[in-house]
Amino acid sequence: MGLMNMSNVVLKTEGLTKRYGDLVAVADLTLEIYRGEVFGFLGPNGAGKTTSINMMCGLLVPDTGTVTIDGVPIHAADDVLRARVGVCPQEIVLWERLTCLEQLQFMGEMYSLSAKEAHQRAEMLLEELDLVEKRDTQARKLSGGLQRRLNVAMALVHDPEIVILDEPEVGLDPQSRVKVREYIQSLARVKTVILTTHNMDEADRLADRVAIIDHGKLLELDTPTVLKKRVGEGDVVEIELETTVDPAIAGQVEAAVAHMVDQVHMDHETSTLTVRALNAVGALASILDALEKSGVQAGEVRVRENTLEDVFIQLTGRRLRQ
Amino acid sequence: MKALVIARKTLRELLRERMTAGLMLIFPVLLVGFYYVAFGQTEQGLAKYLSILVLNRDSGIVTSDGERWNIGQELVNLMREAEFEGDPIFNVTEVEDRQGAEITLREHKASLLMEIPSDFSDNFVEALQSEGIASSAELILNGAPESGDYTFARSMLSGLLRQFTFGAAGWDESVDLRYRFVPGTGTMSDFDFGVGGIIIFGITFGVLVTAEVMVREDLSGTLQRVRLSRASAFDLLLGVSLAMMLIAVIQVPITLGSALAMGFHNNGSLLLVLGIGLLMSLASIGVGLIVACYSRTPGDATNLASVALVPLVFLSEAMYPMPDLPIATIGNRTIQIYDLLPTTHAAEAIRRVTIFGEGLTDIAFELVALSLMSAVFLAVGVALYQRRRLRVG
Repeated sequence: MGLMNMSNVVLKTEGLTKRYGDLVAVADLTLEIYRGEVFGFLGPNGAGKTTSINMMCGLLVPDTGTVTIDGVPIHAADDVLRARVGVCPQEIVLWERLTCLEQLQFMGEMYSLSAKEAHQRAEMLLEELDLVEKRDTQARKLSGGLQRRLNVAMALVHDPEIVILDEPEVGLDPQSRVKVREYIQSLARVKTVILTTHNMDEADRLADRVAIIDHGKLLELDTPTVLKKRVGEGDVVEIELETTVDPAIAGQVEAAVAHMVDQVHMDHETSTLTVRALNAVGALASILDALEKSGVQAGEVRVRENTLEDVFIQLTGRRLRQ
Repeated sequence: MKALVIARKTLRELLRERMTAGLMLIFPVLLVGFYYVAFGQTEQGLAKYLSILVLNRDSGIVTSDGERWNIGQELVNLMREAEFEGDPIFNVTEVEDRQGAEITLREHKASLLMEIPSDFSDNFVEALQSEGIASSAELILNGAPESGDYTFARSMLSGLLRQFTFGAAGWDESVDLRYRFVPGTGTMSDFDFGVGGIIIFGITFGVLVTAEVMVREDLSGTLQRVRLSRASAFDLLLGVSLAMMLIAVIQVPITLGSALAMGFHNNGSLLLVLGIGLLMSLASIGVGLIVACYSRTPGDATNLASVALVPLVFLSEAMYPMPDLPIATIGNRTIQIYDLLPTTHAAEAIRRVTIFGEGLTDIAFELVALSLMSAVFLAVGVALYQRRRLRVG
């Protein structure tokens, strides 16, 4: 991918460690995040995602290690550099008695935009996140979904280069989820987006690369595609055969396929060949070819691809919501 | 300037919160109303209220001309003559029978019994000749310490005594300087006396509001939001302070206006009152920030702020005169323990401006004391808040 070269690194963490008493919240976290990528940050509750993010944006000082933006340590950075980051926290953080427009305009001015610029940015974001009708409504009177959309908008009012979205989809109604997801997609390539999420599907669809952390440690970091091919129990492909297969031929078929995949099983009762392997989907053409060479006609093919959730379970031993 | 934007935002929030806005702006007006109902509507002068019994045993001295000079009697005459707009300040009754006077006191038919000892003139002249060093003339003030009338009368009397001793001898030993009278409190009622304190009471509510605002910003995460922006801690704290000061600017005229409407006699500069109010609001903000540092929830802030408010308002001389609790003397001034509270000086300064029409130089001591205390409270509040709530962890 074109984004991924050393000169394109916008945010870098090196040996980032944070302890709270005996608890190591983040341990030796080293990451490079590229300009314009959507970077997924996955981990179960308490894995250290939010602590990492707080260190990345300068809200927390690491015990050891550094965070740099374009090579400048965040804690040595002036407010101009820090303002290149926009953070949407996991919790809804709004002034309940300010209207949507007032909140956005206020934060714009806190980031040194002129009143006019802040107003224009606020109006634009209200438009983009479908909040125009609520521009003069106080935050406390908005639904949870609308509050979350406004929460996202608040991170973007100063047009930051790096946007950190901490669980932006939590508690969203379907309509708002679609809206926020579309909006994040629209940010891709225009901005660097660091996204923590519980939603594997969201990470898979949106993220260029995914880091999986648990107990404060980085377990894996790669593109979702590579991770799915590398980690987990693999794809499951079920091929229904057209006719009942002679056991001898079945044995030949299993042998022919076995060297391509991790597991192969022929169910004689249902005449179904089931294979499981990382990237079994990629090997599907070769498997079908082997069947044909054995004189076996393949019928319906059912595929369950290895998912990011499978990768996650394999790495952490638990589901993300646990 | 970001501080102004923060101030505007804070004001918007406060004014949209009816309970808080009501507490800050309307409560002092209600208090003025209560005070008026209790003390102000009869239009009676203090003379009726402050009835003083005098047991003059002073035997006087014989002057070089061979004439007898009774200084005690001169003091009694001055007390009788003290008036404002033709009305006497005290209702002075000379008595001969101490026992009878004590019964009158116990029955609350008089505020205070002043005994002038037989050697008063001798001691006074001796003090005059030695510039107050050799001995001191003594007056005995009898009364029920738990009685508000007694405390009030004693405070009022102390000003007159100071005027008398200064005028006659330039000597002020054992004279309470808290209430300095100009001839002119004839129609002053307890209501007039109380309004200055009520103004300060209202501003002191800023402690509670500041604490609640800051705790809420912290609790809701909005404080972090602002910290992540390009606004500095200075912008934030200045912005909130400006908002609270503006509330005081709105509050003071409303309180004073309502008091005037109920018959309060103002003789001084409203601008000066506003200035005193602003200085006091700085102390309130400082205490509010300190309270916010030790509060996790707005409920904690309310409770803790109330704990701070009680001594600030009720142990100062803001609402009523306090008994003598001297701790030191600076120059010719006796420093009372409640002089360590900014509210004491703020209320005293407002009282002297509104009741006695005094100007900037007349209240210089109170202004300096108030400014120093406000600066200390604000500095401690800002430093603590920065260390406990704004420091990157």
